[in-house]
Amino acid sequence: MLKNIVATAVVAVIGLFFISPSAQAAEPLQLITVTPSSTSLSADPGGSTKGSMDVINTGTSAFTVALSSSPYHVDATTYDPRFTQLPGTVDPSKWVRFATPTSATIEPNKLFTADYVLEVPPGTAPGGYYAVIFAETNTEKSSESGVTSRSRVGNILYITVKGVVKTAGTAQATRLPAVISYTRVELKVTVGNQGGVHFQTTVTTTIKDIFGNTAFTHTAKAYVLPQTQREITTEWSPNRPINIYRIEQGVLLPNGVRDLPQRWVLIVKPWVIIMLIVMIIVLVIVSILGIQNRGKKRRQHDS
Amino acid sequence: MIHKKAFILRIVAIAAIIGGIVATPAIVDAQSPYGAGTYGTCDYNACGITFGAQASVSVNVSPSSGATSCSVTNAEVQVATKSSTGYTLSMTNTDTNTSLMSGGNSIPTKSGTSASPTAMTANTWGYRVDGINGFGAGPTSVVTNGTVPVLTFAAIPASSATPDIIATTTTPADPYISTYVWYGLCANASQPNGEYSDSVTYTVVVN
Repeated sequence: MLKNIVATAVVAVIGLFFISPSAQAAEPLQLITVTPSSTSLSADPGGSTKGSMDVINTGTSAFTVALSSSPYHVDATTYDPRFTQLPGTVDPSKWVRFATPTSATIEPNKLFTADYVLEVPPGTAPGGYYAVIFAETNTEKSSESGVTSRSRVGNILYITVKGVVKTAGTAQATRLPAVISYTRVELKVTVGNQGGVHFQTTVTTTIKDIFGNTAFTHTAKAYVLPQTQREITTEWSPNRPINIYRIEQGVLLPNGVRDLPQRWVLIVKPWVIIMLIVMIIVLVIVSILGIQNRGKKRRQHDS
Repeated sequence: MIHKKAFILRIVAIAAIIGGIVATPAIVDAQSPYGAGTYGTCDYNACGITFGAQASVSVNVSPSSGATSCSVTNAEVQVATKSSTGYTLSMTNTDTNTSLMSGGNSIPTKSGTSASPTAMTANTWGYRVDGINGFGAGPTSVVTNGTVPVLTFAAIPASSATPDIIATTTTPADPYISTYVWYGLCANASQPNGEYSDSVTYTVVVN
């Protein structure tokens, strides 16, 4: 009995030390805006260029931000961002020198303009280099139990060190089935960069129906980093329940626009397929009943 | 002869129905404006990006006798950008110590990755985001001092590790898109009491 009481008391005391659950009040979000979100810069080896970015507090409470720069590269054709230095490569984030303080407290609806200078070391090989400038909220770790969050928003620097650089690109569309029954179609184009500097590609998509009417147009622009392949996806939601469409896509590469092979697809929305199946079943049943009736009539006529 | 006529009539009727479907005026929905795909977007070097997050979320658990108690709470994070290529949102721990700390005591982050998350275990914490990586669709819901959740959770990656991508888009986020990060904490009576806390860093860039 005494043993049970002691055990219960111990558990109760331990439980008390953990904060009792309480309703979590809806805390306002810290809203931080960085503009621009990417910047193209170019400089000669040994030269420099200036840049700036605005950090805006679009929330309702003040916060402190810290500025920093990191290397930037991408992983896979989906271009998953990575903020570490690839082995054997130059770290261009060290070329960034902030001309304004690297920390600032920003009141609500106020902005802080961060000026910086990109200083390219002499002897740097011509080509593309990539870094990111982060503005990070400097939230102190909470004294209460839980998880504190810091927000880090980046401005990607696409740096061109001037000089003679090879530029080359390729484009390939992902195959599509001849019949598509999805309500949303993803048209994927993989653009490759075999050169030494990034380029901006433009994927232009035009979709026409069987009567030649333009059903959809879309233009997607994206940077392609050297020695990478980037998958650029255009999402299209066909409006008509059933139709035949011709898909035309053109891709802007360093050596001009490359027209991809045209593709024809039959779009059938799922409910149309269900309706057609139901109609066929009804048709078959009606036909069977009709044949049976005619057989009966013939037998009656013969007898 | 009559049968043949009836058959032809049926074929004509089906063709008319299919033709009617093809010729039916398009129903324009808001998500797919007919003939427009670039409205409201912006090119590189012209776009801004906005990120919103709560500065902190509370995760509290009061273990009961002999059992593992778990609490699950969520943090809403928001991203808005008109960038035509969308954005990628990732997260890591703010430093290389991924444990919830309370003085000299700690609750380590659990095992399991976002690609292969695992069930929660006693005296660990972790996170999950419904519908991405290996987490499955969920839906996750708030739990306070409940049993071990059926859903799987992942470790918080250290700041030196590859960040876990928790949201990505290929189109503009205009208006903003919310992502819900669910934090799970399980403890039993063997865990020393205290105010345990840690910090995570959300990183967002345009694609």
